[in-house]
Amino acid sequence: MRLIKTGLILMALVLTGCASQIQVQQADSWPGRENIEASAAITALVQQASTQRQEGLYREAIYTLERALRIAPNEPLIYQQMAWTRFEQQRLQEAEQLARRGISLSRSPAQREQFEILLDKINRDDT
Amino acid sequence: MTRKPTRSKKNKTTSRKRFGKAAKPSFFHRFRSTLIKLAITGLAVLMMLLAWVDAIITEKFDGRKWQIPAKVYASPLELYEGRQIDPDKLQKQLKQQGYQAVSNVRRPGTFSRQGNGYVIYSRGFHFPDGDEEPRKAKVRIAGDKVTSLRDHRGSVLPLLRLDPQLIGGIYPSSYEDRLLIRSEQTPKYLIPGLLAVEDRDFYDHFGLSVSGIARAFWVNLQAGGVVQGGSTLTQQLVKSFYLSNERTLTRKAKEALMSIALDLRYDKDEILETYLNEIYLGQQGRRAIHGFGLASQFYFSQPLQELDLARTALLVGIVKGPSYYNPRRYPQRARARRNLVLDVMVSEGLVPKAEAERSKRLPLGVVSRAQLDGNAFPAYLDLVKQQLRQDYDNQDLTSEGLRIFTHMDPLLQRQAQTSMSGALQQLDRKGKPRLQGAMVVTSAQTGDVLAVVGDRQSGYAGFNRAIEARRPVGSLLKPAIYLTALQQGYTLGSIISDAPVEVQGTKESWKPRNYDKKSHGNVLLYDALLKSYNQAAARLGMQLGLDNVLATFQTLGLNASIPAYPSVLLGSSALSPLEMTAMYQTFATGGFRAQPRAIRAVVNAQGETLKRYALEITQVVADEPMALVRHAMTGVMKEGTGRGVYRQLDPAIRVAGKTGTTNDQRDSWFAGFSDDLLAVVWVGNDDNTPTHLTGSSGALRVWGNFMQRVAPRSLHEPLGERIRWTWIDRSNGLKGRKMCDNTVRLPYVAGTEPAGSSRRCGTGIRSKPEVSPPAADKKESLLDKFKAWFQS
Repeated sequence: MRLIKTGLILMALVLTGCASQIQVQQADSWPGRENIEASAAITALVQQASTQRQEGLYREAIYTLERALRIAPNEPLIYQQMAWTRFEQQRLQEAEQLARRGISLSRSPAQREQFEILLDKINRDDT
Repeated sequence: MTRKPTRSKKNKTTSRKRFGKAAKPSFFHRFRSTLIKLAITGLAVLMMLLAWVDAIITEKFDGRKWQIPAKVYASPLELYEGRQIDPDKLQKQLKQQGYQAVSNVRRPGTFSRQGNGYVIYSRGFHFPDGDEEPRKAKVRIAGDKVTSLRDHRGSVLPLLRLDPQLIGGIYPSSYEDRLLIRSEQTPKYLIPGLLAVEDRDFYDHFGLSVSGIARAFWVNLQAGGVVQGGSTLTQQLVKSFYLSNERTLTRKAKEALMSIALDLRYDKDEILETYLNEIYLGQQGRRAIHGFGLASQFYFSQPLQELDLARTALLVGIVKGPSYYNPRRYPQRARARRNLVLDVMVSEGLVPKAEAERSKRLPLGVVSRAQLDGNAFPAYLDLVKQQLRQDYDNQDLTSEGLRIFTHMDPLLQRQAQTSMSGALQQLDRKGKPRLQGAMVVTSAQTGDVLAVVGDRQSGYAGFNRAIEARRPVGSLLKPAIYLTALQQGYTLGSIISDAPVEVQGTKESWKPRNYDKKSHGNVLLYDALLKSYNQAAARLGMQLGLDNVLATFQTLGLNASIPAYPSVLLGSSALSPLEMTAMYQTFATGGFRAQPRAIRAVVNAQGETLKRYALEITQVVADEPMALVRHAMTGVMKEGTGRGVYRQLDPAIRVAGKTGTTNDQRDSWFAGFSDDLLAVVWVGNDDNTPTHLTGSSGALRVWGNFMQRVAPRSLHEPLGERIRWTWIDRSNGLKGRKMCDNTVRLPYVAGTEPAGSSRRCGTGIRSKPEVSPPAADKKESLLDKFKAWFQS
């Protein structure tokens, strides 16, 4: 059951084109065990935020992601999305802190790696 | 007595008449020019008067008509699969928000329930992130969790966001409150009913209505009392909008003049809409309820457009005398008035008789005072105001019609208040003053303030102990001392001394004692925190350097200036629960500073977002020392001063925290968190007299009561590539064995584990495990068992 659900989510993310920006993580790490039951809601919000971001509605995207955080406060994927949003806004300090927060909540090396990639980018932009 | 002058007057008139008749041509001739002059002057005065009246009228009517107090909203209830919610609490929340229970759900603002299945038709709402359309959804709940959420077609609905609950306003000194509506937003029968009862000729008269006055007189005569007033809506509006309440002829004349001027200048519909928003319709304490929009919320907790015929008729009836027909105080009177309004509507041909008769049999539908008070959260509002004042001045807040979106969670807020009131009632002692308490609850990971309790009594709007009461915090600051130590290279297994300690001050020396008045010799740093040893903490704090410890306080988010006296190590500083929340937030988030935030966004009257308060976090403590101190704080709950909590809480849920008790048990504190919630509790007496409580026997009881109600998420064990777990002999801090007495499994940063092994257990002491074995250690434990068996 769980596998089917995670598979579906992964597919949804790929289909909606999040893959290019979010760098979809391994199926076993998203969402976290405690958040699996709420995955439909989290996925919907993450997708909505992604659309808002693509339309340049950064403030709205962050608001939407905060709604997602309310549901799954320890979900690294949401922090990853927030960090990307801030990165695109060139609010690099905030992006970096959000990425760090994501790392501290990560449950696998693969997840951490995604954040390291983002941190690298931020540092390059910062200099 | 009055006859005499009358007669003399009469005589005078007759004589003047006679005289006048004879002298008429010459009189007219003589005074003609004066009369013309007088007439011109009179006309000029009248025109000036009209111009003056017109100026008064237009000034207020053209500009912004009212000062609209800011409205404050709670966080909206969101339903989704996996959402934890008690089905009864859901129903209570729906009722609180004025959702009507019906058998067939057909319009927004209604719901039906069958067992644990709901059909909810949500109201639409304009949120800072966009519009939420009304939505009909089927919700199934099992085991206090939403297991299925479908839309009206049966497809999976990821989320259902309800309209947010209105939790209060920020009022000007006049305490006049209203919720603006447009004429189109009124229910079907409101305007026709209002006109039928209050002013039938509204669209035909010129501001005053002669036939209206005559009719009212006739109706009242027939009814044997005042049923109808003779004032037009325009007059009523003028009276309420421009004039004082005095009953003088001059005022009456002014009212008439201004009504005519208003009618001349403005469109009838505009006058009507202004009336709908202006008219006084009720009172709640100092707060005056104006306009039908707010009155609908005030009496029915419903948006105006959702009102049925009976409720519409009641509002129309109340116009005549909001205090006389107060439906909460005089339900019989209000009912009779409502039914009279329904009769008038029938006789005017507005509604069919059968429908009116059906409506007459309905109860008033007014929400109780208790339910109304249940929507007031003054303690939380205090925090909202405090945070708003950093960015807005009072004038903007009380007049611009701003809408403030907050993080307040009404369900959690109610549970926090219930826990406080319930637990304190159990803790009260006969013959002693009633205990007081305060509590702040935030989201552990983000610092969103979810609930604030400022008094043991719910709805109390006075001294807010959560924000304003600063009391010594006792041992609540100790985790910061130990964190400083861990940052400086100590480990949880470091041995520190709990021997008596004396610190030389400039005037006198400071000799803190342990709570049990005993010294415990050399102890693990971990145990010193668990047992809250004062001597160990004071000595360690001084060894680390007072300045360093103070710097840690600040790093963690304690913004209050704390004097550099040694006694602050043991919490002699007076701080508020909110200030302690800011500090514990950093522990709860694992080293990231996130200010406690009450406000999400501020939106102006036009629906544009003025300001958002987005999540801002900054890492201030490195992961590893933070992970270690957090682990020690879970130890406090498992086997230290906080262990009593597991009498209330499921032992499978890991939580972390710290107790605090001050001299003579004047203050009882507890601050602690789960993976999702942080709560800080203070219990004590307002007059600062001693209680009979420690942090464990007082504040922790409130905290535990709350946590047990809300089923928090369990904390994770410290993770990370560099974390190593080792069994430690508690008596000497060396590596021990699980099977030995007095050992504990502790996390270390790789490379900091003790080098030597304790020989105590190897000398043939038969031992039993003190800490329940975690599943991951099965192998090791079997091996250890084997060894222990051999050794014994």
